[in-house]
Amino acid sequence: MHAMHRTGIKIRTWAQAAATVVSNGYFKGLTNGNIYTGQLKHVCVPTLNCYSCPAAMYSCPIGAMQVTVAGAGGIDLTAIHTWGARLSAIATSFPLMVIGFLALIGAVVGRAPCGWLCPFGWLQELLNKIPLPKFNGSGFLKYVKYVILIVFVFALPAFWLDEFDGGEPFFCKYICPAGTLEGGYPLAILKPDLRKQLGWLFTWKSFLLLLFLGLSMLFRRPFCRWICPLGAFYAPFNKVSIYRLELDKDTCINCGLCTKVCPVNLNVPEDIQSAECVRCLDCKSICPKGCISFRPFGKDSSQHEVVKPEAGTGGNKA
Amino acid sequence: MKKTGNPVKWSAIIIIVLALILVFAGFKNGEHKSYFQKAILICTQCIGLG
Repeated sequence: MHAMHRTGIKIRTWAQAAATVVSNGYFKGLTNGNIYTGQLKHVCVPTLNCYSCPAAMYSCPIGAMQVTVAGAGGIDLTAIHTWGARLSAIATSFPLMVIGFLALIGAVVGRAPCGWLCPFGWLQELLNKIPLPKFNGSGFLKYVKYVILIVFVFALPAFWLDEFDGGEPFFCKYICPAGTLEGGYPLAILKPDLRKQLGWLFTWKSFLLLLFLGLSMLFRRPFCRWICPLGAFYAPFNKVSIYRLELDKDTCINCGLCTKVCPVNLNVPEDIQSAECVRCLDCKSICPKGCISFRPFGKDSSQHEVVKPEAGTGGNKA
Repeated sequence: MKKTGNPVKWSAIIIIVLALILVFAGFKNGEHKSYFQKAILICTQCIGLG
């Protein structure tokens, strides 16, 4: 069973590596610092992946949402001063396509892109393998990402306007450590002209990047669990997605292995449908009794509660 | 044991249909062109130039 677990982990690691390369396959950009400008950038990847990375071949959905809400490149918002007019303008430039694309993925597999495809999520997992003391973190921190989604991805780009009445991608600008790592540092290294212009904002974003990389060694996927607005967007879909994780409580021996390997520190038997689950399926592959399944629509929940061990026998529970 | 329909199944299907409508509407709106224009230029905010 442990060999099966290792195989499961290996497949996911390869998937994460492949997704990182596919999302950032413009290697020429890594030599000259010129970003990819081809047609593929009309398409978003389902994960956080900075489109200013010199190797990025697709758009970032969170960046695309902010740009669309802010109206950049869309309708002309110049000289719109009143909130009513602004709301009207936003209604016609709302990121329908990106929201629909992400909802489509979420409705089928929930947060699985976080667990299988996200380059920054993968990096955090790799850093967490460094043998240092591990911590869980306060439970309320998971709600921060929802605030960031609403405030930094939608509200501020829509309503905090610059002197030209245009909005800005506030999450990219002030928070996103993936952008600093994938876009900021490569461009700063490859483009001396840009390097000269870096100021306090770059220092702030470098601090955030180092903070999350450091925290990743102590906490499991801290950025995904607490900050990522894309994770916040996908999270509710775990409750309704077609593919669902299910636990057969009759065969579960409460050995705790699933909880031990969970990359987002869930108590798996209790939180199998949690919005925080990244659907990595590590719990499924390590389960010695094979009582965790991931399949479309799953079983009717009533089928899981047929027989309970008689009092005193203890069943086969650990 | 009395069995009832699975509401999760139907909510997922409804979301998928709505999501496809949103994708189509966004495409007709030219939304992809909007973020394409941003994505093919270096995002100065993203790299810390402000």
